[in-house]
Amino acid sequence: MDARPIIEIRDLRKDFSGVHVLKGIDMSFDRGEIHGLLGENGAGKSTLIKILTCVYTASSGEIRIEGAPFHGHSPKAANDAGVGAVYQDAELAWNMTVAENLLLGSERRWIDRRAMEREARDILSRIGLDIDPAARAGALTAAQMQMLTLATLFHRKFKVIILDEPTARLSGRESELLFALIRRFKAEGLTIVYISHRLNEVKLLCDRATILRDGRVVATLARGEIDEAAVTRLMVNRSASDLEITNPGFARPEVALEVKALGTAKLSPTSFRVHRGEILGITGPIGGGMEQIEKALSGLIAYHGEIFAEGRPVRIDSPSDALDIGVALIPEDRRKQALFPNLTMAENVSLPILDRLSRFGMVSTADIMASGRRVIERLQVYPAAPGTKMRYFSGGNQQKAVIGKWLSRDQKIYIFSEPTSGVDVGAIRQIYEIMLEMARDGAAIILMSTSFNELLSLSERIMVVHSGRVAVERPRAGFDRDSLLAATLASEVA
Amino acid sequence: MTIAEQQAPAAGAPPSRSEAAGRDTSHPLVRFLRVWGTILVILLVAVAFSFASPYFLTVSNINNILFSMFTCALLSMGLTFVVAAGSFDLSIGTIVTTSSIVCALCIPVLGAPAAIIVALLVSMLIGLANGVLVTWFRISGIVGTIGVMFLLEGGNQYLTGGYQVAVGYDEHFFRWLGQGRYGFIAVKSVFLFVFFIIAFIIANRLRIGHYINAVGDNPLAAYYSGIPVYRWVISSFVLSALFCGIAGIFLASTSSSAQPTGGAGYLLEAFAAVFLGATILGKGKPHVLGTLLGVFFLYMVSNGMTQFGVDSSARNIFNGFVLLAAVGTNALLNREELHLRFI
Repeated sequence: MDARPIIEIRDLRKDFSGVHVLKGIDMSFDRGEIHGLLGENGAGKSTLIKILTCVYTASSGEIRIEGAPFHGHSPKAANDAGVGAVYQDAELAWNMTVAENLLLGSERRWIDRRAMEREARDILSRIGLDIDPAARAGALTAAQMQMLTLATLFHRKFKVIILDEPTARLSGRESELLFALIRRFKAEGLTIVYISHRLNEVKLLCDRATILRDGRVVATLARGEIDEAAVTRLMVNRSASDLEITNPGFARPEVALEVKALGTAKLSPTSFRVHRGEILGITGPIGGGMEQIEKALSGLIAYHGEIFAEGRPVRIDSPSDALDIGVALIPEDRRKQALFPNLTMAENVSLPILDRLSRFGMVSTADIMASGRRVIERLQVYPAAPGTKMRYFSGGNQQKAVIGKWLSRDQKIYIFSEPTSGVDVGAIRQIYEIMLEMARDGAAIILMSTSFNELLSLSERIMVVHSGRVAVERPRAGFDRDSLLAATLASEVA
Repeated sequence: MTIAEQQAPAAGAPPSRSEAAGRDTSHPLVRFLRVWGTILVILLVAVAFSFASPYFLTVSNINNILFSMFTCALLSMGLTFVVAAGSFDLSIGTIVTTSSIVCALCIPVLGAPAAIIVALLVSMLIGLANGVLVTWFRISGIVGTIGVMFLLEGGNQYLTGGYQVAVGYDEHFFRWLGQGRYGFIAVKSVFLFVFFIIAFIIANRLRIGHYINAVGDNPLAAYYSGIPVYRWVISSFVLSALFCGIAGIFLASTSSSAQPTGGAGYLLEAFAAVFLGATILGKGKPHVLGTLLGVFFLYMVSNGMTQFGVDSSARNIFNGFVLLAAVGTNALLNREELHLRFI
């Protein structure tokens, strides 16, 4: 076998409008290895992956695939070079069968369903997957969809397959099936890049693991060297460990929200309470259950258990129920889930209060603009142009608009999900200050985040949710970066 | 799930059993109705008609139904490809008219066979334009094909001056296409069967139909699979226009003339047939056989009710009700979690 690395990366740099995200990455992936990629949020993992799959273009540096320089400009170019990624949301043709999906793009001239199913069955059994080739792709389980996507890349002779948090949506047993499949691919000579926050998976699976911190490679560990203490030490960014902002503690005695034995299909019964003025930080690996809390409280999924808002028992069966009892969700994907890009900033922020602005069923443009200006003043939105379409604002200012939208309705409980993802560095501090100010004014805030800096800066209490249940809950003072990271990485599965 | 499946294999064991792969867990009756419901309704109506009139279930009357549904059936089968590709074609009715006018105008100059070929080429060119508009020019299928529809209507008016274009009585071959018959069976009914077989093979046995389905199902997945998405969307519009072109030629042949607005009335019937057809066999997406049965149902009801002298208003009410009931119950049977698409 060729001993040269399949991918070599030299001095790869990337900046987004002056902010350096990758500061010179040097690393390589060998043929037939499973290579773990570890790092805190914002360390540069996803940027690196997006450059490898040609979603982004590098600012400078060199990528060589099998020794030849590689300059792709579209995901298709990466595919043609044999590099592909499997994300948590698989892309399949949902109404077509497993066989049709697997062979998509390599059909013979005459379509013979039975022959296709036979061929698909051969491929699937060769890689050890027992999925019915005649089943409809849309009817598969999340694990099967992921494995089918993997099989598809295998069939198309991909050389490097990147897996981003592949077990986030899988049960323990499904993960075992996935690991077996990954090992088989390795035996076939494929290279697997494995990104995960679950250290025990990386320990179990990977031949080597590279740790990124703050846009640089800090170390590449061999299998035997991967252990919690070493990884924690390497991952934590000491230079940024002096927090610029801390929460002095605004919690009041009144309980704003109490949750008793809240459970969903993927979350064991969980109880917690949030006081007025308190910021409760919740963290954990993606898919570990924290997003279940967010979805249940904002009325997006079915749950069992009891919820009390200011002492009254309530049911939250839809987003409008959540709104009525005073819960506001500020979602991570704000462009898709919270904003109307083609409406003006003022129209966006006044939408939840149109009923208050209207007189005899009519809403005057002047009132809408006035409420837009109020949000702009209060949250220092830039540019101060309430009549500008939302899509022309930067990520940070869009986030302020989402917050402003709920502030103008005086919601009691705010759920922030990754409030600073996609927010320009300069605006992050402003968002933090706004959140602390909201807490001081008596709002109860639940902060869902995977950024430790953020959690330690803002929270009064922190809850780590892992494997569908609360693993640790402590006051902020009981955590430092190392113990928080350790609590998130540790997992009792397997 | 059986007990054997519930016992988890030892950790690290190779993947052995799939977990309820693609299994439908709904009630057997629901499953049965989802697949056979629409066909059941069609059969029940047919049985009711044949009890009420001894003439209804004769070869001659079946031939009548097939003969009258020919134009609509071809349009609908063509439209099936466009809807399967995930778009809309609202120009199909006017392409029929254009094709019949072009054909009728060319016959005296070029002779019938060449005129037919010219008419088909013109139709395919229109389909190509439709396809390019909705792909490279990024215009939505609804808007783009409405634009083309208006352009063609204007062109049709201009070419004919608003009068019909007659086809000479000595064009025996051309008139045989639409008017010939052997005993009870019209030549046109036989051609309907032939075109159905062709459409069925294109849809189910050739790569073009396969890729059109894949692109309509998930264009992003198709793109990442290295499939030229635009090519197949354009192909679906060309196919649709080709079927309209054929329909236009037979329309001109049947009436020995081309009318300036001959095909306009078929557009909405075709849409009804395609979406009714999508519920047949529980596919939930348009397919050629379903479309043909959908057209057959609409024309069978019309034929039966005409025989009993039922007013056309009652016929429309019945058709509207059946379409809503079939598509509505199908949508309810295949419940998605959250329904937020209103096109």
